[in-house]
Amino acid sequence: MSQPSVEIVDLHYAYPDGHSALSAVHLHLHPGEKVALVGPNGAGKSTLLLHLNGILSHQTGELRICGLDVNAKNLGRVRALVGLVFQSPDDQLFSPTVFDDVAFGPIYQGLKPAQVEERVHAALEQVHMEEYARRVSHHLSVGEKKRIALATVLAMQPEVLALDEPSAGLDPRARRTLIHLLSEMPQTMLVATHDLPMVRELFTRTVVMDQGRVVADGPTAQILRDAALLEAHGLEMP
Amino acid sequence: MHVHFLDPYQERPSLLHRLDARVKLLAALAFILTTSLTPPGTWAVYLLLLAGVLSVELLSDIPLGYYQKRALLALPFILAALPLPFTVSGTPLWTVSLGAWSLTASQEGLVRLLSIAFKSWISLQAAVVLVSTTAFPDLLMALRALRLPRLLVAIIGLMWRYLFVMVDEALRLMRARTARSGESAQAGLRPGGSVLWRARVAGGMAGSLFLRSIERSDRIYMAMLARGYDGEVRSSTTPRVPGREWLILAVFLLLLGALLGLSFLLRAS
Repeated sequence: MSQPSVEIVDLHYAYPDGHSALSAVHLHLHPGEKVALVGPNGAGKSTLLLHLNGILSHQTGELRICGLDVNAKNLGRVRALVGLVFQSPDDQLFSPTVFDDVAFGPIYQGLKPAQVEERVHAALEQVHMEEYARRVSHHLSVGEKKRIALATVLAMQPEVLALDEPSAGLDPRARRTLIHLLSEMPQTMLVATHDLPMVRELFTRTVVMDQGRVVADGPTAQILRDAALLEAHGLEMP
Repeated sequence: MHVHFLDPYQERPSLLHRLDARVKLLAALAFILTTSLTPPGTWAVYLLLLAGVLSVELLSDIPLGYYQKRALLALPFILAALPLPFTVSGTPLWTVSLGAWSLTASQEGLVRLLSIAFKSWISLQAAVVLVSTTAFPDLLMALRALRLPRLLVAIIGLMWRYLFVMVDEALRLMRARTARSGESAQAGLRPGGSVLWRARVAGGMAGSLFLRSIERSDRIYMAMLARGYDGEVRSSTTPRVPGREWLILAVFLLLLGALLGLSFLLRAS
């Protein structure tokens, strides 16, 4: 069997005020696997995603990305391997133009200008936004911003995409475009979301979290049929 | 991710915390005023003032080290007084010559510099005691009670409220930047980019924070209008200050007056 893209063993995390956010989380993602992460607000989904590229560092347990331990020594590599897209595209997009934002990752990695240009165009093409390169990201629509946000991490050519609520706040057409985009991506994906119809359409496997724990992990079809489970964890059958 | 460290208020059950915010505000202002009015070089009075502020700190149940750390903020202000030894004329102490230029330090000037440093340190401690033992909304109420223009109080209140939102936003921006600061698998590439480029990115972040703050202020204003805001700031009535606390304030002010008198006596002798 090939090396897992994401390997989490017995992960615990408590916020500085002592409030426990994650406890005993186990999760393995195989290359190319698309997994949905669902659960009520405050369940620890975003906290878990922040661990994947070492923004938050785990206190106990093991965390490996493509076989690399997430520790101070490997942080640079891990951050290039995991493309983390934040829930609010306004946080993700901090540069004056779309081009600058998408180019941030490649420039930071020290790539040559020609390579940077190439990466940016490839990334924008993947999200079908090539003509937006010179636009000012500030006044794009939410749907456009979300796609640009996705491009900013695609430009880093990551192995794993960690997305936080990619479909939140989108109109039906923008949501549909996004679902299409995600289905085309070959990367391993861990997507935190409340959008269960999207989960049914896109992900073969679903992980349910509640109060910092993984309470269920299995085939999406099976989990979305379990009305009792969904209701117990603040979700509704799609 | 939220910011708590900015809020200086420390919840404790101490007597000082329970004292009315208006009394504390007046006492702190009077203390700072007295400290700044004392003439330079009256060290005995400074020590008494320091003893006063230290005993209040002890009463507050908050460790002394906490106050000292916050009072370090006074250091940059002392820089402004640094030229004083050279500009005040008096008994010469020493002379520094730089080519054609020569600077003479005077004893009077040095005394004045040290007095200012000491006084700003004490005053800042008094201010830190005030904000550490008084919750911010109470402080706003006290400012209103002192007849500070309501609009100004409202602006201070809104600033306080949204300062945290802005800091959170800045932290989220920086987190997004960190998340994309990776290293390539290609060998021989130095990650980080040039200093100039990093400065440009930071500038872009500051700019977008600024734009977003302006837009947010527009939205807040609209939300205020939607709830009937008409430019007039109204506030609910405030409870009366208990007579006992007025007495405490009166005694405190008398003491300060006595200290001020003492300092002038010392100066004259």
